Amino acid sequence: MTISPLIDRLIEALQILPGVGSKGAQRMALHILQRNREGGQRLAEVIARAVEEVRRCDACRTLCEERLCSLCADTQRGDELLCVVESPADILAIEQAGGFRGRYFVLHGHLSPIEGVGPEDLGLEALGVRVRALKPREVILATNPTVEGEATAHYISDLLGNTVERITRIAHGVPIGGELEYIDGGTIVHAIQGRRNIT
Amino acid sequence: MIRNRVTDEPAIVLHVRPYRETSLLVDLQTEHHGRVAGVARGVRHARRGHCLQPFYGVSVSWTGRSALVTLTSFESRRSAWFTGNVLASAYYAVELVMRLTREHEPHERLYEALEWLMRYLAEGHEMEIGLRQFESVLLEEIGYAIEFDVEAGGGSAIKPNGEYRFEFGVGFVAVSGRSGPDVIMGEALLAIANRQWQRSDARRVARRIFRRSLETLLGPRPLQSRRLLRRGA
Repeated sequence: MTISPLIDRLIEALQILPGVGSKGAQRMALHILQRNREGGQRLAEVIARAVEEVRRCDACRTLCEERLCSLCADTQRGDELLCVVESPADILAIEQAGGFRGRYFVLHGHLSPIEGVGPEDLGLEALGVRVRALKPREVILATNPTVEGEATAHYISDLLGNTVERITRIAHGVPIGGELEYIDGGTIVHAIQGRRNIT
Repeated sequence: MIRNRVTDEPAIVLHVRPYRETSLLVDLQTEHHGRVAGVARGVRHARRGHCLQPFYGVSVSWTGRSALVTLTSFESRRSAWFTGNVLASAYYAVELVMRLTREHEPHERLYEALEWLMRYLAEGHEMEIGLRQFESVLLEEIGYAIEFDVEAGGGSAIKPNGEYRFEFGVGFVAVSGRSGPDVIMGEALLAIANRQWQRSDARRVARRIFRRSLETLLGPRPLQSRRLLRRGA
């Protein structure tokens, strides 16, 4: 049933958001129009501005408004470590966890041979440029511990070759608080292979 | 509509991609039903992880008979974690299966060969031999078996000191008094027929012949997985 063409368009437009289906979109649209028109106005304005002004950082390619993001502009951070991640959300996760004070590079995806996502789709040239400019001592490949993430890490380590002193891969294994009994076989194999000395 | 139900079917996970918010689309090579695409609902972000990972050996149950079935249960039989060039090799095998077989077309020997290859790669054996073995079964299963011990047209047996040329879809044709990059010695062909992979000429010739055959079948779109191979390997 159509209520009005404009409401229909709003409901349809809201469905671009992840996790929003037609029912949810309808509730949101009616909520804005019935109860919070002012909020709706603010939302519309901020979305328009953000889409217009948010861009990729020239250095690490995360999303930001300036030429350089706040992490790349921060002179307190060291240039020795460069952490390569799949998405801006991964930077947020690492920053919220704390403990890392180096630089980042965002791939915006991963290689997927089966889906036809190749190296040129990830702009890996930009990573080469970043590495040559920053001259880090170590590049940390923090792509996800999935098969695609591993393939991507493998490709990058080959690409960077001996332009960097050290290329490392984040550890994968038993999560803190986990119980071996319930952990998947692949993870356990990995955890045993990646064991380390107790210091 | 008659509901089709398959239970506890051995399968190998070929590819997994996100579907909607919490589900996964999974391509499987099954033992008895060929390649099957299914939806596994509500499994993404499972805290303990799940076995629907590429290259894993699983046991699955599903319902539905359309192109996309609904996975009702799945269990791990064999885990898999490859890195480096072994990962590129596993991807290569899976990409060939995805590109050269049709869904729901039973290929029991292909399933067995892929399962064998996954175990073989996991045990750290010589990748090259595993891939040649797999390619030969794949070509047979999709109807392009190559006979290495007889001449084209079912004629005479290949002679160890004979010289031959390979033509895709035809076989080995004797050539005389001609040398060139395409000329193959009979003894290399007999070594391939007898699976003497320890011989370097058998490996080299098989690689060239399988590659040419597969490239003809694949058409102009190149294999993505080849690009993952570490250069110089």
